[in-house]
Amino acid sequence: MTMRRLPQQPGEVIDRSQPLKFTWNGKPAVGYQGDTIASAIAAGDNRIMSRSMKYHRPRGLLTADFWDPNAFVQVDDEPNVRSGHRLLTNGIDVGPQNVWPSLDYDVKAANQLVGRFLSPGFYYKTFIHPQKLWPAYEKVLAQFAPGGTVDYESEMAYFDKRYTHPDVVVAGGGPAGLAAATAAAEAGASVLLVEHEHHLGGHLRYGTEDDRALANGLELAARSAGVEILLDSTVTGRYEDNWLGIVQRSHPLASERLVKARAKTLIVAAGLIERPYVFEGNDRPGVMLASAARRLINMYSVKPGDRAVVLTANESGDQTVADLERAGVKIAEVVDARAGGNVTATAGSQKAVESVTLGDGSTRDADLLITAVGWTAPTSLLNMSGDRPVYDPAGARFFPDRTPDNVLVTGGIAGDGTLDQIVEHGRETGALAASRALAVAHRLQALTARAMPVSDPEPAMAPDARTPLGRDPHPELYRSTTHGIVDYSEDVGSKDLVSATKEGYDSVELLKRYTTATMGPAQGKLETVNTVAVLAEARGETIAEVGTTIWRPPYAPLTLGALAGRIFEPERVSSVHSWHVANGAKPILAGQWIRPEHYGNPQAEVTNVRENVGIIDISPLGKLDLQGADVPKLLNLLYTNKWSKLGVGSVRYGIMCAEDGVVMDDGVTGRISENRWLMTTTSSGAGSVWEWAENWLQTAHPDWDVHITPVTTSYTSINVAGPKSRELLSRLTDVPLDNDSFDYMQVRPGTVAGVEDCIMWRIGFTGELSFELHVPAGYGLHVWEALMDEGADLGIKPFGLEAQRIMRLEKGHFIVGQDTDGLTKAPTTGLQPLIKLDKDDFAGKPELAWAMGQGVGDAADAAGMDLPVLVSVQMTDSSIVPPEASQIVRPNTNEILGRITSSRYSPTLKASIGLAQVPPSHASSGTQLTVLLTNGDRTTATVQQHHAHFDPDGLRLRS
Amino acid sequence: MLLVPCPHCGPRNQSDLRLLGEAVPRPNPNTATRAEWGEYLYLRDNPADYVTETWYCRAGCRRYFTVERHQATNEFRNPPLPGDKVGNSTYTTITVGSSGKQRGANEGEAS
Amino acid sequence: MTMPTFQSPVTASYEPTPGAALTLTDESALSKMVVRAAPGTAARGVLAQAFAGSRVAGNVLIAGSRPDEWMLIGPADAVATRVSEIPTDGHVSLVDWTHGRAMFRLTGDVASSAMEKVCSLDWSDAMMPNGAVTSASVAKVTCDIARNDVSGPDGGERAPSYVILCDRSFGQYLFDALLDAGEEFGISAVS
Repeated sequence: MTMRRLPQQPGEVIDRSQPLKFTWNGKPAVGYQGDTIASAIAAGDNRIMSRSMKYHRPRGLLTADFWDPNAFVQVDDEPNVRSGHRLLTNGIDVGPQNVWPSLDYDVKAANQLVGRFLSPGFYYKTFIHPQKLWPAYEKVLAQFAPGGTVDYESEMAYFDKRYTHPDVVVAGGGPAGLAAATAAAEAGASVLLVEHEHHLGGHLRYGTEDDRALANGLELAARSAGVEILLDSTVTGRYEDNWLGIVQRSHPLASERLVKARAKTLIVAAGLIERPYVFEGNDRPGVMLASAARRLINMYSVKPGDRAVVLTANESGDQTVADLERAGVKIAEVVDARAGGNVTATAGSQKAVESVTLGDGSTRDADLLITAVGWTAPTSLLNMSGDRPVYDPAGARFFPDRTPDNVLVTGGIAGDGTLDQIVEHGRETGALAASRALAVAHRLQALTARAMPVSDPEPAMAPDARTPLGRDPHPELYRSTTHGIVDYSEDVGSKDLVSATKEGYDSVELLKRYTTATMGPAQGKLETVNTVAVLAEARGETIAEVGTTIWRPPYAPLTLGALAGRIFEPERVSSVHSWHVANGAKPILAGQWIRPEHYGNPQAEVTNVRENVGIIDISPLGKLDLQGADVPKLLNLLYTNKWSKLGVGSVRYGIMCAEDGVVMDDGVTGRISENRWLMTTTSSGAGSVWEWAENWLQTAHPDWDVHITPVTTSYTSINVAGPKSRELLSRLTDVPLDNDSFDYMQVRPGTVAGVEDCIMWRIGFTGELSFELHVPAGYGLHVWEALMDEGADLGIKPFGLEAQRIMRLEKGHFIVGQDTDGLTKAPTTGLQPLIKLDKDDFAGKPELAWAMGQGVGDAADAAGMDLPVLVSVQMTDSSIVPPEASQIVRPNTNEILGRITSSRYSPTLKASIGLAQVPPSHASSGTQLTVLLTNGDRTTATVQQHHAHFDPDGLRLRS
Repeated sequence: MLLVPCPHCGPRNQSDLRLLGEAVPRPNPNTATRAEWGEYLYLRDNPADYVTETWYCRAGCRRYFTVERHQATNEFRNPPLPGDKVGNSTYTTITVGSSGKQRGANEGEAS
Repeated sequence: MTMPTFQSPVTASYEPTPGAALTLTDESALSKMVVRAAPGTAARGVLAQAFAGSRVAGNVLIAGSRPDEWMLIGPADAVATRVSEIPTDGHVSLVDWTHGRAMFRLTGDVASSAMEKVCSLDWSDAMMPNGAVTSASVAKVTCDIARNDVSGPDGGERAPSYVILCDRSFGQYLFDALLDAGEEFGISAVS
């Protein structure tokens, strides 16, 4: 099984003392600790790794690293695993993707015979008409969708997140990155180095003995300088002010960890990625990049073939020849592209190269074709820093142009040179980065209030005195004289690109989207420049003229799990929560609060409140403590009604509007003492009203003396409601509760159930006699339980949100955001008496003046607005409760007049009741409305005289 | 993730703050015409240039402040320094309508 | 009737690990007073604490939590004594936040590493030294945080310690989120 494994190689990264068993394509296989899945498969003399996504052509290793487009596999329940990168582990089941029924024989490979039908835009053009057939098309096409199999039964994995604030982040751990990191750390910067691969050293890792020695030395120096190193991790994005996303795949405890780093300086040392060559048969298994062959031989001790043709245009290609010979691969021909040599085609079976056609037309028998035709600069992080790299035909690649001060570039992506020169450039870059970072760190510290005070002056930034790297000449080699695959992962060929160009998709961004070239999992690292080169050729222009696509985040694809990180879903509970759980409350999530919807039977809960007494936990109710001499001014500004004369011990209801007159929130505010008010808001408005009030205070009226302190969670809020509520509460407090002492719409502080500093309001959302208690939250459960105990003989029962909603609807109280929407101006609610246009100012005043026909302007402005009216309705058929948001239509038509905003069955009235927004023409009492139900049926409803269906005069709550 | 120069806390992550948009003067509510009020509510120039914006240091010091930010480059100009008077009665910076309703202070924004 | 016992928002029970390098302690029962004082008031002179810093006076942590706001945290009687010394002339207000805020203490040499997992602030000594006070989103909950180093979990040398306050209703959630963040550092709950 290990027939392609070589004897021990000097630079191998596998541990032969630790064999690992796995299955590949259903058959047992072995590898070693340190193998990638792909290297272990290749060691077992398997050449076909997968089939391509569109034509299902057999594919073998191309790059043998993270970017290999042909090496996506299924590992157990995980699809789309990059086998060129993922390390082998014991016992895994590895299978190929895009194969049916098998890797060796694939039915859909027939696609390649009908390739012309799968030309670019094929799906767009073929399946767009007739549209009604799309569901049928979809079913068939789904069978052809590429990728692995998702197992919906898979367990959730644990993902992690971390923030960090290093002075310098180095993206890339090759020779330049290592040297830069070391120099920056030695200059006193905290440094985080992020390396994509499992090993440091970049290309040196698969190089010569000297290369490896250099890499080891650089690594040792970086570690001793205190550089934090993340292996198998990628800087996926660079955002404003050097905010970096880093995905760490090597975390011991988490599947993946997303590290969000705020780097003071970013060093991009991403190196160079070897570029494939376009020619006929360039995707036949056995065609491989020089770097892939060197990785296989030198790192994994795998012999990549038996007889090779090598097409070389650079030193790396030349070195591959020596590596191949050492591995026992016979060299059929070395074709030197610098001397005009070329390769035009491979021939052989579907599954393997058998011969190679050279530029002169001659052929060589070979099972391996190595190409070394140039490098692509992965400039993604530079693009994300605002750089627009420039193509240099002499060097045959893109080079950086201009980056911001906090982004520096070094290594192969910056230019060429000897290893010494590259390391030296790295060192200089690291020192420069540290100098800049330390100045920024000093400035941040000086500006940050909580930070340790700085006494020294800001250190000066060193000037950029680096010796620039040179540019070695390199032939421009993109496409041979024949056509082949450009984008392996998307199965797009150079012919497709040419024909798409002829169809008019002749700008690079259009071409990319039309053909999907560069849009696969390699994210353009292998294909972009070839795509641009083919386009340039088709347009008869240069690559520089055509330009390139802009690389956007992420640099490398990352999982949604990594992006989600650890899941933070804050949830809020009241002090009574444990009691609710123990007593069978059905929970409902309201905003972030977990609240009892009911305790089994909301209808019975309503009846019990109407007949006896009930208590509800309304702790989420927004509560703001207001203190200061100018509180009445603030209240006058926020609410539409008047507040100047609110006496101590009284509460008042008000509505708040935004500046466009739309209802924003409502609630009651009470004056607890001469200098202190308690404002309540809706539960969902607690935070927003606070910010709104602060906005007015801080920006418009900084001279007003008002302090606002949020106290929502300081109190457990309990509404004690029902005809027996006074009797119950009197057993627990000494505060006199009779009407003369404590009237409706009043507030009293006091002791309840032994708890001091409680606040009691006498108000009633339910329409019953009721007392709203605000109890210091640390004693909330105690008071709740005391109420339940004391009320046992009075028939006390807890009630939930649903019962409260029914009761408020019986009383015709609207809920902001339920019965109002983003366009509902205050007059719609019917509360015109609470809109005091004679006040000097309040939020939304001009809009409300125009709405009510009293605004500034000409006759048209003075006419008022034809606003919808909120009315109470009862359905003719009490057995039908139309779903909320059911439309109200003109009879016998579908013309929408309005909608039901709330609806419930009322157990008190034995009627189906609701609130509705209707036009003024349909708002008068007795109007018959037609309600369109969701099933298409129609029913009728009648507009009521009062908003309150029940006790319209409020006798009960004043009792 | 921008670093926003809070005059009290110092530079803070954008996600700790809320941007309320361009700071615009509020017309006199008793004399404004519909056109003037409509402009105050809805119309902004959005130039590719510096604009004075209002920010709210939501997760930090809870102060509102104004600062100039370039709408194309995100560069801040003339950030107020600690101790600068923040309130400015010529500007109110109220967002409008329920679409502009300021979300609850504790409703987490991704950070 | 006598006053009942204060109930913490952290209602779950935890098994403490002896000798843990990182501890999370529920201190919700401590008294917390918010003082707001406008510029020019005498109260500011008595508080004598700049924004974003703190000091311990007697048994009370006096924290400059906002530009015009201070928090006094400690045992009820000690806080009450301090508060009684604050002149209330001018625009000054007092609000008792004992019940409104949950309060935890995260202590240990690796406490900043645990905080890095739940909060985007820079927790280095330079940016968040002992005594520093700030507020920030912690696991998506807005919190007030003071660094107030104390003897480490082993009772030995002073170790970094963060006092974290959030709305009481988030207390149990945040306590658990901090425990989760500290898991890889061997955190132990003390509740």
